[in-house]
Amino acid sequence: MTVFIQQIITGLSIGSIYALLAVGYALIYSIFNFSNFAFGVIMMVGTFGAVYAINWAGAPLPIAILAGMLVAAAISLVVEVSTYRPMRRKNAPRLYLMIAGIGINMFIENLAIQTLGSSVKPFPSDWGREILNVGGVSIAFADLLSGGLSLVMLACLWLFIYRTKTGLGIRASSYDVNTTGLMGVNVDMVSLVVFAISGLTAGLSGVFYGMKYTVYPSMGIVSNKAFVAAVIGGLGSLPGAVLGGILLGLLETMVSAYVSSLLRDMIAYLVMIVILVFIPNGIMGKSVKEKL
Amino acid sequence: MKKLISLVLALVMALSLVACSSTNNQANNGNASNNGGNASDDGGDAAGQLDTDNPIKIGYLAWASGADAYMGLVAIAALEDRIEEINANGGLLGREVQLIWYDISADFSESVNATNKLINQDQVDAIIGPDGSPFAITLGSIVEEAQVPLLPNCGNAEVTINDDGSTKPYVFRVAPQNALTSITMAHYAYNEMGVRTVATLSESTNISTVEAVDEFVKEFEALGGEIVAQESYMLNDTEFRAQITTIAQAEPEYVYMPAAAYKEVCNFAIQLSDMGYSDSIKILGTDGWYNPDALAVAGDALDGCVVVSALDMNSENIAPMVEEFAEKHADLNASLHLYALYAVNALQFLEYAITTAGSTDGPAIKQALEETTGVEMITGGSWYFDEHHDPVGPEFTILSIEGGEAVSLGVYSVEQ
Repeated sequence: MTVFIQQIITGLSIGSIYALLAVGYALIYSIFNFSNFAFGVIMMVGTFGAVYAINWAGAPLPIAILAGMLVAAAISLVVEVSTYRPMRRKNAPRLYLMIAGIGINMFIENLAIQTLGSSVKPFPSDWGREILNVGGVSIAFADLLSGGLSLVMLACLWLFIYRTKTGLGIRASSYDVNTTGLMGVNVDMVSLVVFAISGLTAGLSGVFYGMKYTVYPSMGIVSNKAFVAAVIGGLGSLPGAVLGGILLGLLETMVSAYVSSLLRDMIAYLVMIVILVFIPNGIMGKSVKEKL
Repeated sequence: MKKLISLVLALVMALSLVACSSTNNQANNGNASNNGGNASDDGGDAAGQLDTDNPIKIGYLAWASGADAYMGLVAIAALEDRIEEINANGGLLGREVQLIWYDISADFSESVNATNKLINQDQVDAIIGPDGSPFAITLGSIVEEAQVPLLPNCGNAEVTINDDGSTKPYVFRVAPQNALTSITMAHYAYNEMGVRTVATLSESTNISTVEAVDEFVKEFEALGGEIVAQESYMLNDTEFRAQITTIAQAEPEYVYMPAAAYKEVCNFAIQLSDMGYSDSIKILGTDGWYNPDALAVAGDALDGCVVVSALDMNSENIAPMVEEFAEKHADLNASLHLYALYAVNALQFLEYAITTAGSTDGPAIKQALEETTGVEMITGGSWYFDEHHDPVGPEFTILSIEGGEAVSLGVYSVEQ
């Protein structure tokens, strides 16, 4: 039984990272109807921001986490302003925006390898690796904190989107960007806010990912799984993204533990296909739209 | 009509991409020859008249991008350093030596493309690498047809042996075979450490680590030991707690993990320690991940682990090289590692063969490599090739990791 609970905890802890990243995908998708495939490197750059805040500036962990989030938000804004916005202005098809995102991902990842080096670094704080032992089940502090902060982040997002004027603008934009613009909402401002928030979630999840595992230029690869999680949950739905992330984490862990680690991805993705065949919009998806 | 236009545009784009990438590599060539030129200027006296118009071209197949880019980037720097030295001392046969490398990390087919490019476009005289078995296995027939010697630094048996058991005539391995490494580890663990129960953990996407685990299991069970669990993971995995929980239930004394790169081992060791098993379960490892950077990342999580390696990074030959490399290439942010040293050993074999044969003809180099009775390696020891073109001479050192440092427990060989 202890072993089973341990596996559940492991699944939840992986799932919470997927969930936080998936929220970042879902947020952008819900407003702009496209997936920001540059998300992985935004997360990676944010993590390096936190690492250097500690290594160079000697920042304490909470400040470093904040620094990581801000760096990720900044890079997310740069991507939006330099690439996505001009492309949207020229009415580029959504597919092209995503291809541009993949390009940015490759470009920044390889730029990071060239400038920061390709080696793997430990996150310069052991705090996240402290272990809480409850009845033979070990839970890492980082997991508790990432789970907790993910919930806080989600709550803040919810309050922001449903209880503020800017949030109203975001929601209006998610129905129809052009009409919302005509109604006098500053759509450019809305897009900046959305990309900044999505960058903040990327930075936060990156720091936790780095704390739990290691930091290296290709770490953004995990965001592919988060994208899958967002699709399972129903792209565009924030609660769906969280649900999808947790489900994927649990599914992977349970297959590794009780079937075979060799079959992990095979079975996890088979389940995803089955879910999509029967519920093409994902578990909590809103409507049938192009999901790319 | 529109379709036709878009098709033409797509073709033009594809072609321009190809053109771009070839200009890139031209730039690589340019850099290499510039280096050589500088080197010959610096060492003008020693060099005499270095023939720079007719260089000896050595190709290198590098794993130089992606998550484990350090593998190739470090090796390229180490090879360039050595070539700079050769050119400063008058080159080979009075001719300048040039390194031409391609990144092959995109996928397995990339090593075939790069090898064809090196042979047909760059017309290299010999090729070093690749350092991964899945990349190397398919290259035997290509280099045989072109009669260009290939010196891969990877361990799978099929790298040098065809399906029918014959030796690939132009392939010479410069790293120890997986089977030997695994057999040595199995004997040392059973006979010297008294280990009786082992679990294994292999990267299922890499034929090399799968083979290493198979060989270990065969040997360890033949000795009388018990394999209590067999788990696997995929390249770039970071999460190992599911495997750890399963392995821990089987209560092994050690986990044999012959990983091809170090980041997975670090995550595994750290999570093993986090879950409180690091006192009861230790790792048995191989040279694939024996890297100073791994020890730095995993810290004391790797303490008590035992590694078998054909080179001892702390030896009097290698330790100064590691230090010198760190000073010279601080910008790489990665330490000199074993696989880069194997690549340098390959270059030494080529220096020897080209000088001995007095020619850069493929068959002449091949013959010189086959006939050598020993080339002194800068990493220590004298190496030559057996009839299967596997290296004879590398001695296995057993290392124990203590306090984040690898401590040599001495040389160990299995009495066959």
